[in-house]
Amino acid sequence: MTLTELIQRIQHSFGKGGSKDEAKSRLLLVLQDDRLGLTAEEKEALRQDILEAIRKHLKIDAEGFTMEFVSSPTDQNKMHVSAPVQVGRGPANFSK
Amino acid sequence: MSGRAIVVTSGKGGVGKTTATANIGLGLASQGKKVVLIDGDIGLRNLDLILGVENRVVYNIVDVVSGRCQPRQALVKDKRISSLFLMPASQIDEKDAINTDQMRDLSAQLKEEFDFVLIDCPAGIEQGFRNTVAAADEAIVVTTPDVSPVRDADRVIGLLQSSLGEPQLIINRMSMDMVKRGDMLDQQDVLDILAVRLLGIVPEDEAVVIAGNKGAPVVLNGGSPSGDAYGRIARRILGEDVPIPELNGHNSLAKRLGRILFGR
Repeated sequence: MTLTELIQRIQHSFGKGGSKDEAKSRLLLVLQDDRLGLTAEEKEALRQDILEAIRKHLKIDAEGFTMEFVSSPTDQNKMHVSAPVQVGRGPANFSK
Repeated sequence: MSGRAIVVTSGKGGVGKTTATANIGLGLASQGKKVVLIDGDIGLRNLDLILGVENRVVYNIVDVVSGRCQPRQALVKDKRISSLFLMPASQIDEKDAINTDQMRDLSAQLKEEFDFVLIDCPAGIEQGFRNTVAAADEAIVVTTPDVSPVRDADRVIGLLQSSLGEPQLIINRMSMDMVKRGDMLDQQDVLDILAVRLLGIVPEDEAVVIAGNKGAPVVLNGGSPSGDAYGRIARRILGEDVPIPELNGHNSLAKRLGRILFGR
């Protein structure tokens, strides 16, 4: 038995690491979309609008910009936006 | 008297709606309640077969709403528990043979005489779903711990919330072995995803298949895990505080060690 196998077996014995974790995360993701009822185009438009809105005020790295919808038992239906802000020394980097 | 009309629904077909309706109905009736089950699946009649009363069906729900007979004439009385009745579906009519108002009126009429009107909803979210939901005051959603039924249950819960309010959930066909291995969503997983109140968990049980073969629902014979689960569900519906057994797949230490050393 390799160490990886042993770890997997320990995880399984606690009901973890099985295929249900994949089922749960896939469901949470797909249900977010189902519940929002937004088309792919509408989501992209929203993404662009938020990206532009932030860019008006801050220098951000568009590559690293992400927008995702998450659901958990405690906070249902939240939108998480992550924007890597490029901050230098001195005054804030306003692009205007 | 004004009884409670409860629709049993799921979105996805094949998750055990009809079996659940039959067992909950018998469970409530065996607690002394007067219960009528309405088979709302027009064109695909099955509740009579699950209950084992198929040979005694004369008239059906379409005959009643189209005035060919009185509701009383269509009701089939259960021979085992005399306070349980079935309003059978029609097997030959189209599924849109009844409209929402007719269904609502029938339910209201039956509520005058019965403590519980349990309505078995057809699969899907079309007219048959809308009719049975319109005729109900409360809803029970049945799902199995699989990805597509859970997704469809979520859709149905969304639709119900805008009409009947918060439904209650039954998780059917839970396999303890698979949950323990981490290969099946457990009750907490399903509740995390669907965020509704849990009415009960029915374990995977061969007895359900045998009961279907015989037309004698599991709740009638004590001792089967699924029959006992339905018995507890019926008591919860009656307002009793019956705890839901933890089926979250926690293994004993010895079992865990065994699995670690010798695999599954």
